[in-house]
Amino acid sequence: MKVKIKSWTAVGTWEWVSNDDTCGICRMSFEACCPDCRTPGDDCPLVWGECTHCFHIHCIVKWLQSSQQQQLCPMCRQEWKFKE
Amino acid sequence: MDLEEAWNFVENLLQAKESLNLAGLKMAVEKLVADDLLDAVYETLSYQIEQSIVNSVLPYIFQDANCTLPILVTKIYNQAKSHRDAVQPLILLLDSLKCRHELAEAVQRTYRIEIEFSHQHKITELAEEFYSKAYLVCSKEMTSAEDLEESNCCPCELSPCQCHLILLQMSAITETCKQNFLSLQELGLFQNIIEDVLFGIARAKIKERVSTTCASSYSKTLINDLTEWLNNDLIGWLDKVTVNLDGSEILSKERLMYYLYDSFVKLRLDEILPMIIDYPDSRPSFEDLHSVLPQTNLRKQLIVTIKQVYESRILHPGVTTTDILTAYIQSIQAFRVLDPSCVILEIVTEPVKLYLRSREDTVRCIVANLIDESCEVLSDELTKGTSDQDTVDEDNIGEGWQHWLPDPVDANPDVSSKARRSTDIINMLVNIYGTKELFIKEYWNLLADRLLSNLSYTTMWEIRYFELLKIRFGETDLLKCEVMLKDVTDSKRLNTWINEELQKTNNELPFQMNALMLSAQYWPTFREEPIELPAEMKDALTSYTKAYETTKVNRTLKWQPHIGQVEVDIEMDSGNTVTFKTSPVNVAIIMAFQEQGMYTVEELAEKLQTSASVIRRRISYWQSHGVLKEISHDVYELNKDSSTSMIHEPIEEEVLESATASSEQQKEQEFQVMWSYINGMLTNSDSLPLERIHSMLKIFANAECTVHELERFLSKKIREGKVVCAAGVYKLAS
Ligand SMILES: [Zn+2]
Ligand SMILES: [Zn+2]
Ligand SMILES: [Zn+2]
Repeated sequence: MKVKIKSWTAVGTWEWVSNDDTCGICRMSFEACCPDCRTPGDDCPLVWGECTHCFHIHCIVKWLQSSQQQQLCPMCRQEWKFKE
Repeated sequence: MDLEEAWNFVENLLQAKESLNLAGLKMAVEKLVADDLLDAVYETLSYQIEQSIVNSVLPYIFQDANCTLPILVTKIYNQAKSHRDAVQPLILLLDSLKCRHELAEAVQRTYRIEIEFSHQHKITELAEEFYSKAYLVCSKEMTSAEDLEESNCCPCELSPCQCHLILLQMSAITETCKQNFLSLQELGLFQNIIEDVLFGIARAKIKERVSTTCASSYSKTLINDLTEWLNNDLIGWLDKVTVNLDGSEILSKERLMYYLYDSFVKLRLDEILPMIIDYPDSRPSFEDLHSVLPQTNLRKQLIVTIKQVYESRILHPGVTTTDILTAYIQSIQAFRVLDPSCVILEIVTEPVKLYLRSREDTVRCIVANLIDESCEVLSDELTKGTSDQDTVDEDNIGEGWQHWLPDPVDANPDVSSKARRSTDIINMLVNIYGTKELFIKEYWNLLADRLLSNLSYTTMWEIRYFELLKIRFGETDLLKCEVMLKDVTDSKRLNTWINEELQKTNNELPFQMNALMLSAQYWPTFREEPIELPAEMKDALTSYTKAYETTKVNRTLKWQPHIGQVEVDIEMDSGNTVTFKTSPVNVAIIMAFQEQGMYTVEELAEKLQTSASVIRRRISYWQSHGVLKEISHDVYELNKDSSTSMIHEPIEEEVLESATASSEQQKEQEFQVMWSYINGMLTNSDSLPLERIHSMLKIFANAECTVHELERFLSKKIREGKVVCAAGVYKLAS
């Protein structure tokens, strides 16, 4: 007997490659979206800082805009720089 | 004249035994008065009058076995009349002597009481016989003026025919009444006996009429036919048979009408279940009930009956949830017609709601029915898209206060009348479970099942219903569902990219691979079924994941290896090749048999890193298709002589959910949706060219079909005679 696969529709879930599960700002899962968005993933991506912390892009941008003085990472208080 | 002579004289007179001798009477009475015996005489006489009526006069009249009502009535009249005639001189005499007496009343009363209490049975019997025949004769006479005796089917059913005789006798009764100074009523004949008989016959006729006109016939309103019959035929008969009798007013039209309505409602109560099931065809009969019920006393009984019918016929384990729901939905519609205040609806459906709440699959059935086109009522309701309360206020304003009616007393005071009247079917269904959240959760589960069991990426159908539900329940509650649908459409696009990426990097897979890449947070938890896939499949997953990671930076895929569908060709040792579409777990199992022809369940479970129970459940698939056989308990090997089950068609797995339709059926369903749109367009616009239909379908139906496909579909409709095409434009066939 021989089995030959012709086609396959597989099912999987996508996830972000990060060392944390939830966004330190909004406390939502990274695989969910920030409170301002409706759909996750492409529409509400993550960004990494040089300090290796990551957030929903909308969350960190909002955070940086709201803080008057220096641009600090809300987790480690180091200066926030977007990782290239 | 001595005392004894005087006494006997008066006594004989009262018994109507002797002809009147006025001079003698006067002497006799004067003698009695002189001896101060008048009172005693009067009392004794009254007693004797009574005795003679009771013991001889009436028994003599009633002993005639062949008597008919007219003869009997005539005899009673004559007898009573001669009694009165006999007493009359005595009355005058007593009056002139200024004696107090009640002789006239005594005679009359005795006749009445005696007839009523001792001879009622006989009179009733004769009256029934007589008036029943009279009814037939009269109705015959009313329908055709022809000579009754010549008619072949004589209504009196007597041989030889007596119709004529009956008519004669009827006028004889009438004559008797006219001639006599005593009326039937005074004798207690009409008021108490004949009236009952006439009413009894009238009731029987009404019942018979209601039953022959209305039984099992629900599709038109019948109450007007019935009242017309009552006014013309029945009242006509009564007028005839009671003409000039003092009782002609006694059987009032109102009383008969009441009985007609009563009979009608009672008949309908016996048929309430078939009527509900027939809805909407039975709508006219509910309209009839609506107009008639307030004029009867049967509202309570109606409620009790409906509840009993539900309990005995619908709310038990032998009835499927879908059938109960169907009955419930039809009840909602029907009882709204019956009682627009919806109070009856609310009361009678309460046990149905409770029962449905106790069934586990209720919400699932509601949702499934809701998004199933074949359940027209619900789909229609959904398409109407009336969300929560928008149209209600307008309705109420339109009605105006003049038409306002208070809610019936049995209405639940906790529910506002407006709310009760305005709830639509879908809200009522959703409310079976109390909250819309629960309902939406179940929809979410069901949608996930449907999307995962039907992996063809054809979401048009789902999106259509999703959009309708969104209008009804609002976006926020359905957000998860929206993301799920988006996952499926996004995956479709992403698959193309990833397969291009695989091609570019020379990583082409040995088979066509597609994936659904889902946002885990928005999907229900997946069922678990551990499995170690064959290397060939694992390699494919790895390559696919790599390509994904290239396309979507910083993201990766986590596979649910047991979910999905694989299409495999199996070449048997006998040389046959069979194609199967089945789950990856099944494929893993059968591929293990390429390496080794026989396994125990335990060995296989260890090899595939799963449990024995998973193997046992799954392996039956291959057993039933004749690929494997169980040679001893829990030991399987390849079935060498599989020629017995040679199948050439691809075999699709029976998925747990019935939602799996073949792609052919799926396409057909989509076209059915389109057909309703096309039908609507052509109804509104009369005629349209092909391109216009196509572009409108794209906008309104979200249709994913080509102009060519549409043209093919329309030519099929032309062949079916639904559509005609002339000069490049399409029209509905008239
Ligand atoms: Zn966030
Ligand atoms: Zn966002
Ligand atoms: Zn940091």
